[in-house]
Amino acid sequence: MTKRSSPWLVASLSLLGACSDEAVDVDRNAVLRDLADNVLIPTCARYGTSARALATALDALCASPTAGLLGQARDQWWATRLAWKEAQVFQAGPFEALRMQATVDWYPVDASAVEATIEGGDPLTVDSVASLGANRRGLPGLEVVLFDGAIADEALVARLREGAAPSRRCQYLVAVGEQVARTSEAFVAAWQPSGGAYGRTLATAGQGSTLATTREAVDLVVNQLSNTLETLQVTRLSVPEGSRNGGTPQPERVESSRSNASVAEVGAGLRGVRAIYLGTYGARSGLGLTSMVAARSPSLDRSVRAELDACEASLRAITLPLQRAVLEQRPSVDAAVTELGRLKRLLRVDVANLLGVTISFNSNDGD
Amino acid sequence: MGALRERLRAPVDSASLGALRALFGAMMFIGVIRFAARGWIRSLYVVPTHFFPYVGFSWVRPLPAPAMYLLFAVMGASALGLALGWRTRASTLTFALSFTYVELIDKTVYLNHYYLVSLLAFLLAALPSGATLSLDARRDPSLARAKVPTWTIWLLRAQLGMVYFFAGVAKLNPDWLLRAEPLRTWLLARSDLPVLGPLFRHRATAYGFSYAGLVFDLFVALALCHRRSRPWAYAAVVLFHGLTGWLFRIGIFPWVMIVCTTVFFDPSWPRRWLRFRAPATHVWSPSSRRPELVAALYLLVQALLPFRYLLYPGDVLWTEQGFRLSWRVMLTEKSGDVEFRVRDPRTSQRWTVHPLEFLTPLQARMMAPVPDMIVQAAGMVRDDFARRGLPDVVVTAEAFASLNGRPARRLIDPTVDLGREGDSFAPKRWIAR
Repeated sequence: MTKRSSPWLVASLSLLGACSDEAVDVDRNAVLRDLADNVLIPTCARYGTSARALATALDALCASPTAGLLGQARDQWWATRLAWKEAQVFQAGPFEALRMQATVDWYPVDASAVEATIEGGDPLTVDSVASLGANRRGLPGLEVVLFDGAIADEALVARLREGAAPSRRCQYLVAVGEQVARTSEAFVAAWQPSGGAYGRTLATAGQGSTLATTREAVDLVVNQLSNTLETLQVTRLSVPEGSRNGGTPQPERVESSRSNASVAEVGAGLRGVRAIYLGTYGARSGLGLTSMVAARSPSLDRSVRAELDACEASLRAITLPLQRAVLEQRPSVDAAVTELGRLKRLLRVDVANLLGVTISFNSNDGD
Repeated sequence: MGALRERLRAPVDSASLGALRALFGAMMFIGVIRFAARGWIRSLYVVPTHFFPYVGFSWVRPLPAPAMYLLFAVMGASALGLALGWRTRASTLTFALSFTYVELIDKTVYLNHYYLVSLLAFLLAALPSGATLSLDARRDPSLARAKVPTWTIWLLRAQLGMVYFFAGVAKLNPDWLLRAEPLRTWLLARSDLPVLGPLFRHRATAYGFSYAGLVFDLFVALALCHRRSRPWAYAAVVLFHGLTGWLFRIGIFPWVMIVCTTVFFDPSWPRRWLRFRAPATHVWSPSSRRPELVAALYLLVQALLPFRYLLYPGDVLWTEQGFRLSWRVMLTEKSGDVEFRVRDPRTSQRWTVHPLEFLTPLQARMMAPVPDMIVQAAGMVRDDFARRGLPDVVVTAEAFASLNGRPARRLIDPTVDLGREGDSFAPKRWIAR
């Protein structure tokens, strides 16, 4: 190439780039609208319904404690917990305003403080449990009472019947269950057009919304996914595996170990991430982040989708409860940590760079 | 040579120099107030427990919180003194020193325009910027000067001209010319804006902006120097900085440039606009015997600094060796992710350390794609383990970065013990290329 021809070559290549087929990007507000309508609002609604069903199941259990009703309450706790973990991916807007983390899911729960609350003499009503410390209520607090691997189910049912009906233990279950349900209903309402209309806030970002620009809203969404993945990778898996302890496993750092729900909860969080990325939740689907990514880099979009699958597969390979898996299935836990780290990197580095997203780490990551 | 010296020493009206000082000081005063009002003193200099000093400046440390607030108060007061021309030299020097001290504390807050502010402040301290339009000149007419040597004005013009020119030269790279990056990514992110927003979704718009920006940067200073093209060039300055200020979050920088480029106007412009008379006194005489030589040496250093990247292997946008202090403005959209792996060779114990365990979110984000800050962070991890009684740990980094929309790739050789490397001006062989 001669010096004289260089500028012409640059100009020609630039012109070619400017006029190539991939000239128009997706409408980002349309993506945000679809995400709100098809994913975020339905995810919250599902959690809200599930939380109310849990409160009902706890009422039924405490009205007449039996092993069968205990099993039903546990099943509903699991369903609520997984629905919560899906909804928990988007920790902005109503999630922050209603302090959902502190009300519903503080980690780590203080099991002995929960027992002390039950053993104590203070009234156990919806109002009184609302003023309890965050580490002695919420779904983890219910887990402490509903699941106790140290004693047989019959003994646990007998505990629910102790003393004058309803027992203190049942008063706690009913009050906390109701408090969780009411908070969840407020959470759901805050997303609905008839309530706080946060779904609309997100969908109309940059068009008179409190989210001043579309960019701010897209940043928010991508950051929620990235931060969730970091929490799943680091706090939920890597730390119990011993990453902060010189490699010595710390099974006591496993979340939801009484119910053995830990791995399923990580899977639910991952499903929440998948739903937002793909714009698909249950039978509903529309535009998602995938649309914006694929418009600019189909190969990156394929990589993200493949990594989502790889993460799910790696979690399926953990067949033991996590507190045992960190001791007995370390290669599987390692593999899951690695895959979640890869997915996090794809979103935090590749997707963020492609979409011009400013990453804002969650300073509460970890505990 | 003699003729050139005569031309450089020829007296010109001191009014534009005074106006530049007053306007620059006012901008800095607003800037300091804005900085404090946004809580940045606390979040950037009080809350963090670790900092990223520049090579050779590790002695510059944040002061205890009350002293840090006091330092900013001094900076704000001196900026006001600079604006008003009160004890001008002392105010300007105080501002320059306090501002530069703060900037040297932590690399993660480096911005090209902060560097420019430091340079301009020191230049204004060295030049007779209080000779007119100042309280000093009003209070003591013997301090007033109607004229200053031509070179004083041209020194400032050259400094500002270099900012634009080297910003233009830096844009002569394949990403800017052939991919319209990173502008394409940034414009897409602002496609919600009224009127222009829909245009930003088109690739052709990004190319148009890229080439317009390139031509602007390369030639605007030249056009500002010529009387006939100056009005058009200044209109372009206002349009360019107004547009970038509207599109991107770049604080007061656009206004600083709009204000500072008035130094390209005819030196008497404030006198004609404000209709005030020149003081009936003489020309300012520098204390140095060869001021033009000192100024030329300064400009030579400024002209060479942007090319120091040639001393290092690899793409400067990727390695960032020779990146700072070079007017590489708005050239990269770079994202990174890093975690540190720590191993005790004696016991084979292993840890994974995430940046948020010891850095603020902003520091973690700024550090992640930049090799020299990653090695500094690795040193912090090593020091932390040493304090815990493990002085011999090996610290490696799992660091990946993406530049201007390209797929992420490894940024740091994961086999190198970064804890023992430390930051320096030497080429960083452990950067993956």
